[in-house]
Amino acid sequence: MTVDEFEQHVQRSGLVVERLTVGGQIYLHLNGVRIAGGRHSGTECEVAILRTTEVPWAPEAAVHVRPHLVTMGQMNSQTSPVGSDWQYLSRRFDKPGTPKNFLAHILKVLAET
Amino acid sequence: MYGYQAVDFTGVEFSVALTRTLDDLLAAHLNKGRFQEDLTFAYWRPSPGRSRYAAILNRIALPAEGDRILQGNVAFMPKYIQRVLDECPKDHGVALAHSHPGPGWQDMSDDDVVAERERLAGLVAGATGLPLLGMTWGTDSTWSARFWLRVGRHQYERRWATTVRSVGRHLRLSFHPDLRPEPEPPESQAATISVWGRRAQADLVRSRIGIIGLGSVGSIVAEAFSRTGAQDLMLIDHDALELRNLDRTLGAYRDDAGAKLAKVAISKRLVDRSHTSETFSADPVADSVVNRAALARAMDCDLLICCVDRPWPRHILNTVAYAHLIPVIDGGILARVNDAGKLVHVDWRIHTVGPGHACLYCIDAIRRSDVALDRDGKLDDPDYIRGLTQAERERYGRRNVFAFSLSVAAHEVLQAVGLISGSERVGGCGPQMYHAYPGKMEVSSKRACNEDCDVTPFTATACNVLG
Repeated sequence: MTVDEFEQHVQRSGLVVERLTVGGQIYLHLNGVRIAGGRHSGTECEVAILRTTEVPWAPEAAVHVRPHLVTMGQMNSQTSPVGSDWQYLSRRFDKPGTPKNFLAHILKVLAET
Repeated sequence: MYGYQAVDFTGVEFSVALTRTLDDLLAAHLNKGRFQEDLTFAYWRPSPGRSRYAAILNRIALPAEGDRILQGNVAFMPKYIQRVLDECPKDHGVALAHSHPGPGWQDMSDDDVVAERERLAGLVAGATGLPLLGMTWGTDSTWSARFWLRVGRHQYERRWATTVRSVGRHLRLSFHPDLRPEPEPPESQAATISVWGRRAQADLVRSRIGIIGLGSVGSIVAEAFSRTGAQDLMLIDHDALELRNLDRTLGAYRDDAGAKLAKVAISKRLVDRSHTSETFSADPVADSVVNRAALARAMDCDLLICCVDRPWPRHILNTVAYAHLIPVIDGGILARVNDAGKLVHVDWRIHTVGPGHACLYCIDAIRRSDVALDRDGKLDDPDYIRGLTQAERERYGRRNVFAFSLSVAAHEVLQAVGLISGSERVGGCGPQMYHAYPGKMEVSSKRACNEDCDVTPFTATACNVLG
């Protein structure tokens, strides 16, 4: 998977993807992501994923999310370099790097908060 | 940026690579017996290193009925080349491959020169922006190859490739007899040659071998290749020697740590004295392979030995093995120590990656999330490391002793020899994992990547690995 293929897959899934530049880093900014389970089931949030360009893409497994979904410090959450209103959910992603697998990983991280 | 002008390629060496699968397809088409030559067009992608320009052949455009004339020798029809140019994939070059009825590296007949230089070179360069690649298949499966570069208006000159590598279960190299001549076997290598033979030795010593990481394992690997007869080593490591490295770095001394000598300089000093070949060159590159400049040097090599333990450079080299068809021998050591500081267990593993072998992900030798963490600097962040589980900290602990490295280095060199010689009697027949207790070497039967592997789709694409 390349980062461009992931971006196209997300768009095909009906989500709006934009680029967000913070501190010299570029993030994929996913708007209106509906959380499909857990305490926040049914609500929408924003997600940011660090955009790097190596091939194949080795995506940062952490998900940056706005608004905060858990009490900071719990469930492997930290402050996010994207901004103070964002939260960094530190996770692992070790499945084969396909666009489908990685989007499923993001949705699962959100559903488990 | 390379195009097809000769001036762009000043001082550049040329090479060609293809997968063994594609090689077999080409051979099946081209081999028409002793009395009939044949031809086909093919497509390739450029894989530029710093001083070597390689064509990665990745697709055949077989002739259709009426596309060529077969009458002992062979000629292509204009409609064939027109179709090939019309269907040329973006950013690809065009190759003409044809067969000769003899073995070894093939020279060109006058007809061959006319076909490539007069009929094709300008047409292909104009249409693709890349030089025409000509290839000839010999009956012993040796390939010869050349590029046609523009030197003036309607004028093209031939530049021979130094090597053609066919990459699969084994690495089969064809060498230009003048640019990379077979050496006379020296007396100093008699014992080595008595084991695996003159042919394997000639192929091994003429291969350009890149050693990535000149620490505990890499310093031993460099010495082993030097004594075994390697003529051309590329030594890549950004690190300088510290006192804590002295217990496991071959050729390093206390003074070197005081002087913060680069590890590549230490290895070079060692191999410059120990080599057994008459002709020898060790090129030190004090840089990390995660940087473009050092990666370009690695891409000048025929074979890479990965002696680094960090996931990010290993991810990069794993991709290079498939995308640029430069096989990689990789190894790693994991020593587990309990909270009381007692050794619990130690394993080490050695494996070959590239077409014909499973990749580092599919044999579980690296994890994707570790790659991202390393790339983003998290594995150097003490706060991040503190927050990890015990098992994770052990994985990043990098515990090692010299004797473990000796074993890993020995098996890396043996796998390299096995890869080049085609002898599994030397290199074994699969990924190896040694368990120090009870003292057992396991050999995996896994020879291919998983179906959903995300690395193999990039095979022979010559993609820009760092983006």
